[in-house]
Amino acid sequence: MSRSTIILAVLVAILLTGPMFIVVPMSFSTAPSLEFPPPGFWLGYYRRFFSDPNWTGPLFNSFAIGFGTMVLAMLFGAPASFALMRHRFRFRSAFRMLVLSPLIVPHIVMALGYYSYFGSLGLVQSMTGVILAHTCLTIPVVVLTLTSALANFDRRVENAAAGLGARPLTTFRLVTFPILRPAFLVAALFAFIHSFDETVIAIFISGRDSATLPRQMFNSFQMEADPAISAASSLLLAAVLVVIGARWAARLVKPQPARAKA
Amino acid sequence: MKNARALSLRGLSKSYLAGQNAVDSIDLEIQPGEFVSFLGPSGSGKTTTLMMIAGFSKPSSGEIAIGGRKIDSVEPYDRNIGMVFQNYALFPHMSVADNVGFPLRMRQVPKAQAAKRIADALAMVGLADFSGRKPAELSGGQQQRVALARALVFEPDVVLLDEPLGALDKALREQMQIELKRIHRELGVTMVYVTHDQGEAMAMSDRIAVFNRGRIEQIGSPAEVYARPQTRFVASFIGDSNLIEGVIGRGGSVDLPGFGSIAVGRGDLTPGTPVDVLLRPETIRLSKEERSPEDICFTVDEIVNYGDSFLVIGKSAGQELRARVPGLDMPALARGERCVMRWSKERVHIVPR
Ligand SMILES: Nc1ncnc2c1ncn2[C@@H]1O[C@H](COP(=O)(O)OP(=O)(O)O)[C@@H](O)[C@H]1O
Ligand SMILES: [Mg+2]
Repeated sequence: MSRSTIILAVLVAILLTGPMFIVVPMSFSTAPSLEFPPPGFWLGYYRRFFSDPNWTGPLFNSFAIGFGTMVLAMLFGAPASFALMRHRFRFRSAFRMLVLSPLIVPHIVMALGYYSYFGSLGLVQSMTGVILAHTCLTIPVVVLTLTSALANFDRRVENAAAGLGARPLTTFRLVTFPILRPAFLVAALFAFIHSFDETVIAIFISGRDSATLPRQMFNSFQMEADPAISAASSLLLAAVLVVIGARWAARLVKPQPARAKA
Repeated sequence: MKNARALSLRGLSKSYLAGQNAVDSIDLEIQPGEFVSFLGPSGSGKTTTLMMIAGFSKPSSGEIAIGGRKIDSVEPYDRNIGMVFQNYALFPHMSVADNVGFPLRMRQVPKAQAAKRIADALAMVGLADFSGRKPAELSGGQQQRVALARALVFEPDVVLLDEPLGALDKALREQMQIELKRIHRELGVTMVYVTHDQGEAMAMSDRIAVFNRGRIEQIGSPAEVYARPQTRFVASFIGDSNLIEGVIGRGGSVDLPGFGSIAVGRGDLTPGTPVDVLLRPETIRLSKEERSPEDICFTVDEIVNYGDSFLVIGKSAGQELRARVPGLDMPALARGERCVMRWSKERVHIVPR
């Protein structure tokens, strides 16, 4: 690597991680309003965040919606992944396109669509509505994770299980699923975090009672710039980092070809 | 294991692409307790045949029976066939004991009894002390043994092995060949063994089925397929060979241009029939004695020393020939030198074309 590439890389890294280094210190600030650099440090914003129902409500909503999305996205995404990887059927590539399309369609377009469509179904401003919309949005994440795991999965172990007397469901329960467990775990966590930090659709269709954390942050920022928002941001960031860390941990959990000491 | 079963394949075919048979109408009767090898080049349909026997692949036509019972519509999990896959296909998340115990668990064998059978199976393959290990903590040869123990522990009717030693180095492969033969002798179970290594097939089998392009070209004992190949393919695939083109002459003899006429006692073939004459390299003798007019001249191109024997490659009557000469009988020959070639005419074998 030449000197100029290194400098360029450092610049890009600063640009990418810069906001973290501003927001996180700010969340521990003593200043009465958002201010950088902070004049001093304490946990006031966090105390405020966790004692104000305007923040704890959305935090709970985000967890509930994230969990619901995770369950639904796995219920639809896992079978879709197996179908795409293991069966040839008519319109298979069309089906793949359809499943992955939320990756391409701009979120604002989808949000508008959900807004008008859910309006007629009475789902706007409800948690169910947000969960359904987030499910559509996160199925591609689940499918991409699971199909790549399935592509590397050696089906001969399933044949071996069948040959040894295991029926298909038993084979799935005792062989396929345990081997793919890390991928399932990663897919589920990704689904959760995708919903947890999703903003555009949440702004459009989550109502006052079902507001998610990002939506509440957006509102708060527009209205009064409550400095607790920096605590909220840091918590959101922490959640994302935990998920990325979990993915890394899942890789560690996979069996490593350790040397036998015979 | 006294419950060895017969395995029969009748008109078994498989086509992946319309009009092309990966396996083409195979007929084969395997006796109870027999060790049969499927020998053939890569892509000749051995694995496909095995997969159909195991039930993982559906035949396009034909039928399969074990112990006289048709199994075409029996699911793989009800076939009671043990299989060792080329890559072993061990369950990576289970210990060695759980891998070997898997078929017993599927058959609801009581825990205590299962533990004893697992221990016996692991002892049989020499892995008694490894039951707690994960497959990733074993060497290739050890994984292979686990796969073997797993395929044998539930007393299957038939055991199928798909190039089980292919990934092992030469010394380990030879050791495992001997062990596999011992296990086969001890258990007396019917075994079908796939390999593309003719030496392995010769060393281990009761009978060899030679595969080529989805068909069985010949089935017979190792000695039979070696000494009396029925097709040019079998003659050239098994062992080292010289094939000389000739024509059947009068009185059961064969005319070889440049080599004269040999009496081979094949009165069953009509004169004028084109044939190949198989001359195994070890049946050729070279000597530097005075030549008599009827002797055949051999020009040496290349000499390879194998220690116990020499391979001499050269030309005779315009044909390239290979001769295998035991080290002690080797005359002092140099490249480019001419010598006399003799063969035992009774060892010559005729292959129809
Ligand atoms: N799943 C498959 N789809 C299409 N063709 C296949 C498939 N499996 C095997 N074949 C073809 O069938 C032929 C026989 O293959 P195989 O039985 O694997 O040969 P072998 O085991 O003797 O090397 C080959 O030409 C191979 O390309
Ligand atoms: Mg094969």
